Amino acid sequence: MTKPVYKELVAASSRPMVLSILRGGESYGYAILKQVKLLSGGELEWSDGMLYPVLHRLERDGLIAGRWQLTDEGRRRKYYRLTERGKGQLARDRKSWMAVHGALRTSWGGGHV
Amino acid sequence: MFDVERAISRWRERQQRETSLAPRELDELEDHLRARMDLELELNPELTRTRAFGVASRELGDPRALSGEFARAGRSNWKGPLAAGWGLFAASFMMPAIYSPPGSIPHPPPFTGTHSGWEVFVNLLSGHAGPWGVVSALSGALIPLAGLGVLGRWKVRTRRVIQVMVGATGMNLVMWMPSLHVGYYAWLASFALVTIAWWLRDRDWSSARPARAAS
Repeated sequence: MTKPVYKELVAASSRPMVLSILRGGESYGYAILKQVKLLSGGELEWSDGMLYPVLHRLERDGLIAGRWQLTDEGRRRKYYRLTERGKGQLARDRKSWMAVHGALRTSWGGGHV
Repeated sequence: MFDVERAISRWRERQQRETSLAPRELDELEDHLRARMDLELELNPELTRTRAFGVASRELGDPRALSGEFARAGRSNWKGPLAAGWGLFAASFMMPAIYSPPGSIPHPPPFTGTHSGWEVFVNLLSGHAGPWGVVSALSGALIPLAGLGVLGRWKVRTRRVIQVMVGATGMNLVMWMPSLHVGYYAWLASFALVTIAWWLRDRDWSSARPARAAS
């Protein structure tokens, strides 16, 4: 069985995906991962460990901000939220992806495939 | 009987030993590991805790690859001060370091005029300024040592490093203060830069404290 979406596309879409999820509110790694699976209907296969370097890169670039909290069970958990800079990046990413999506849809709709 | 806490503790120890993951990065991965375990047990009640832990840790992926990804995503803001510290340390040996006026017997080196860092270093090591002179010269070894400590993530408390560096700086200043030149100050400044690099690396490395309890 072939993978639903190949890994290069998964990697390229990781930033807008995480930023989009965080637009809905503060969240943490595992919840974000679950949200990705839910949103894509399981089509986007993110490995568990893949998410955290992505989150740290976005944090380094100032697109998201993290803070530590204690959970009800007394565990340390890092929560992330979207920053103003992240909102701007999300808008630009959305425009780019919509342009790609629009071009492909028009192309395929025109019977080129 | 399978002890989750013990298994997680062993998992952390292994990550610390085999990867360059910082404790706060491990905190985040541990939180994920526990959540994933809970999910596996929820989805499949017949699964043993041992198996659930195995699945969760395997799904996190190869620790070394993960560690490399974290390193690429990290800030590494300590590299600049470290490189500057080492550069200044090397340059200071070429700069004029000490002026010894005629008749200033206690001042090393035991010859008059202005001398570069490496001349002073060699003369101090040769014992012309007594045992404290040798100690002073050898204190320069702290710079490459501390640099290696930063790169190798030696587990030495930052406070201890600062104490040693401030002590070495103070000792060197007091000993040779009357006749110092720019090279000597550059040499001492390299102590400060390497200490800053250590502090920045440690801040990145040490566990973050939770801000407050979740409401």
